[in-house]
Amino acid sequence: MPAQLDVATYIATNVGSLTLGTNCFGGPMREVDTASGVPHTCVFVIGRGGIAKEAFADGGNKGGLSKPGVQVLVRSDKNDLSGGLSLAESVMAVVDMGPPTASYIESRATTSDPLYLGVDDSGHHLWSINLILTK
Amino acid sequence: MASRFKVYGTKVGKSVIKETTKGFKGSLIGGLTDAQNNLKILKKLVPEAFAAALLDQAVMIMDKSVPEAPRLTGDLRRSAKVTAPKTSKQPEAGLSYNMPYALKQHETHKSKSKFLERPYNESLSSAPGRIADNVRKHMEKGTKLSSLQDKTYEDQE
Repeated sequence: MPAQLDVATYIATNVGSLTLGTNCFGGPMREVDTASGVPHTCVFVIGRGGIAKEAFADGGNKGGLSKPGVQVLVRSDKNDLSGGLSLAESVMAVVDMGPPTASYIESRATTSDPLYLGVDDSGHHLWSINLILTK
Repeated sequence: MASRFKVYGTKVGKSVIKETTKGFKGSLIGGLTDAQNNLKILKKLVPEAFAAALLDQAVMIMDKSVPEAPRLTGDLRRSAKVTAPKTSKQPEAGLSYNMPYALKQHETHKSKSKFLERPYNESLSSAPGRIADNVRKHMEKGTKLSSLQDKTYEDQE
């Protein structure tokens, strides 16, 4: 499974207010669309490639550590800074310094706190959490 | 056997100790003094060459990043800047886009997000070798910290 889906599944499982496919998605950020079920408060997990694989010196077996990168975007409800921040911190607490599934060795955020990006045109606050995974 | 080697910018190699039938010709004291002087020169030369190599690496990353940055008016690309290291003790080179919306564009742009992070990540695996090569190059040239300059960018389109 791609890293973005692994992480989205892990977040939805471990953050009480989130459900995969309802308000937690693996893939690019989507516009709010209540008709098709994309709410204001949402989390999106996007694959970002990460950094080059670290190859083992294993006599040609081509083993190594993969270092995929994912970005978690947290969108608050309209004009709900504190609620959005609280959600972003909950997500950060779950994904930073822990493996998202048993197939990963670790997951590390590249910043200590969620990166606040400001407000979009509709009044949603946005945060970004950038992760480098190891598997 | 006489040996000759040269470390860039040092005095090693200027007075070679020669082997003769009766032993070595040359001064042990002089050799030690040379070695101490060379170490003093290296102590100053290497950190400054490293700072210059670090700047080269940062410029290479930004050169790749600027064409990948989103362009509407060109302001974002023109705001790109590589800041040269100011000290050789713990040299740091800065890469930045200096517009209020730069961070948001970098994180959320639909097609060109991570326009700085991607070239940076791509450069990581080759960085140690490239920096080592550039350290040698700058030691050879005798690059000084005071000669390092910030780099700014023009919009190419």
